[in-house]
Amino acid sequence: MNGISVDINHLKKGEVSLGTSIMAVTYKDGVILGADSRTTTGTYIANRVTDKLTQIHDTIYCCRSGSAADTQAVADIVKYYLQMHASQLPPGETPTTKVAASVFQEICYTNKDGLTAGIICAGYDKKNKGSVYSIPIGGSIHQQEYAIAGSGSTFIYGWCDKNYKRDMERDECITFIKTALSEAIKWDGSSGGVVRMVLLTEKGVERLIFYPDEYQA
Amino acid sequence: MNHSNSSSHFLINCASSRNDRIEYTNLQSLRIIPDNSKLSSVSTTSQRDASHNVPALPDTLREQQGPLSIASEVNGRHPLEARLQNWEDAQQTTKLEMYRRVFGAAEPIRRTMELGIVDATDFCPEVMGGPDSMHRDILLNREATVDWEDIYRGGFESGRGGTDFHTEMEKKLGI
Repeated sequence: MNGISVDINHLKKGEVSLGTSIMAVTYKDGVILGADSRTTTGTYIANRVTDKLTQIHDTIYCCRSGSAADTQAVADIVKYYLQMHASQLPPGETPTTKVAASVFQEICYTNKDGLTAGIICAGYDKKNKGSVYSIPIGGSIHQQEYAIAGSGSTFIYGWCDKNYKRDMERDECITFIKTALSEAIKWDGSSGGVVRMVLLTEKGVERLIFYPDEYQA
Repeated sequence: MNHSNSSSHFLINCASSRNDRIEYTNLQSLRIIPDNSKLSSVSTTSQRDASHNVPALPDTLREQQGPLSIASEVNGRHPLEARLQNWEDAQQTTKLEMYRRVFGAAEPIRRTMELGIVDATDFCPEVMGGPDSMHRDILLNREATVDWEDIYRGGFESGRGGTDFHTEMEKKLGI
């Protein structure tokens, strides 16, 4: 978690950037993913209500940062792969988050010369409960209790480190993410809009949205 | 060629005259980005096929494409063109690699074999209209799609240009 820098200027000419604040946090019942909703082309905001939390499988999601096109393409491929993989599992068994994260990692590493993609893959499975895997630009993989990424994350490393607690309750964790992303949005010009969250638990998927008047300090 | 995996080996043996550029780079890897086919050096035979009798030069009279101008074929291209030429190949290779991992090596080998069989057995000379793409389309799941290339099938780069029946048969039989 120390000094990871994401160079979001390293985009191909004319590309749309997901300059971003994204995070995923494990808690008592599973895992929560959170993201802002701003997509920019230079200083122009191409989309102010982007959904950066993409579904890969029933209870496996990913947060995308970097080039919008690159991350969408990679997420599509991983989703396709997981569908096939899941079809070959015994009845009742679902793919683990680790498998999804490993596929992300391999694609990001093998194609590192052409991709600008920073991904956080998080999910809930029966065996491992909630888990979070961070795959920064370059294609390394890091399993963590919580992960933050994107240009806005640089401003909240200290705050998150101080305020994170293991096995938080649902509302505690929601407040943690909301406050963290609110700070990131406050300081980072490439982050803004609404705060979207996805809760992944044994019960399934729950989506939340928080508007500026709710999260602005 | 000894170290290529089985499915690319099959592809090499069954390559039709339209699909000469085989990739060796994607052995067991999830490479999704199409290769850059931009040449770093050119020669008299880098743009067109060499003539059988004079291997250093293309056969201008047979091919009926006019005299070769390397500059006109190399310059003035869009930067993405070199990558997009390999788009379909890259997509197909990625898919086969995924199938290999999930279902086993037999899956991509069989799919490549079926495409090879179609290429080898569906013969109709270009002067009679060329082979019907129905079988190939079914195998590639493109039977319900219509694309630019299905309507405007000609053009220099489709590989169908200017061959007469004799040249085609000679190529096919390897004479």
